[in-house]
Amino acid sequence: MAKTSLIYIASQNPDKMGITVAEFDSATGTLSTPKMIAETRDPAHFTLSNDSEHLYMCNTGTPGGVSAFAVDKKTGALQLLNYKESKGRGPSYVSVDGSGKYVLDANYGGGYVEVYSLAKDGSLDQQTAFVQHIGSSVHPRQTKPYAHWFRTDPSNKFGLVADLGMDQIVVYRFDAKTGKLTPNDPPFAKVAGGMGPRHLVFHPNGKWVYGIAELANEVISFKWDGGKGTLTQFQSVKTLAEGFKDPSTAAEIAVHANGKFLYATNRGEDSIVVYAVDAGTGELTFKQRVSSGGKVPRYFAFDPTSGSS
Amino acid sequence: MNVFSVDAKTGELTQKGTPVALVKPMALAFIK
Repeated sequence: MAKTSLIYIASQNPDKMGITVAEFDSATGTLSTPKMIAETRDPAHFTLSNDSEHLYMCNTGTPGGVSAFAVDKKTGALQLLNYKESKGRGPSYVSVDGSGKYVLDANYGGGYVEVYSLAKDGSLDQQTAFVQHIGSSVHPRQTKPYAHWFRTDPSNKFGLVADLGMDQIVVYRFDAKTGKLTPNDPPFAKVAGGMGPRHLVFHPNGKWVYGIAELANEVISFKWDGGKGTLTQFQSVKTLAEGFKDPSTAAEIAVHANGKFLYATNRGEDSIVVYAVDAGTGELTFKQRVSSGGKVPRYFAFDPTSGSS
Repeated sequence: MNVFSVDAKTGELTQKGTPVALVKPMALAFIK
């Protein structure tokens, strides 16, 4: 099904930082030249609400924060609704919970996570949760917590955090009526020292979770128990080609909507790696490695006609 | 910014079209 979509791209061009918009033709793969649609300071990761009516942006830098925008879905025009300042440096990741009533963000530099309720107009309202992580691990970049990624699970009953500094996937019970977080039992899954978990992705079947380890350049595979909120690791695979010795850090991870393939990027090797997902076990098998065609592939996404989880 | 086609049967990526220049892109999202 070919169609034209609008796509937002955040740009940290020092001359003019902000959110650009471009048209994407899925039949030809043509992307138009992005045009600045909203200037905003130090834009980084962002997300759209489940209905694409609102956009929530991490403004990194110090001080940083989270911005809320209203979206004109026809033109892509953005209207700033409000902004909530962080403690210190801004967050690295923002998501909307399954109910569409809360925004969750992970603050990398501050090593904490927080939750905001959303007002009826989509603006950020009250801070309903704030949890400071405490810990460290073995790598020189792990002297303190670095909360990097924060989303709810498919049931919206748990919130998972990839903490790069602590080598932990921290699991909270999430109360969608109040927006509050409480530690799960057990409160985290530990990964091997020096892994540096950055981002996670749920397989479409909801039973497997895959994490990208930024420091060790690996994909870590877990079984997810959605009743207990527990993770059990069953595999890890390298993302870099054998013999690659130059500096490189893994970045983004996604699963195709059909559940058959997983994709990961390497910043340094500047590549995208493709793995086949075993339908019975969830185990990954290397399929392909391609050049990203640029430098430092921090992020990628599937267009709506192919989809990703 | 680069675009790849995805073969849904094999999972393999193939670069498509002409790369689009953009200074330090950080993240992206499609309006649905």
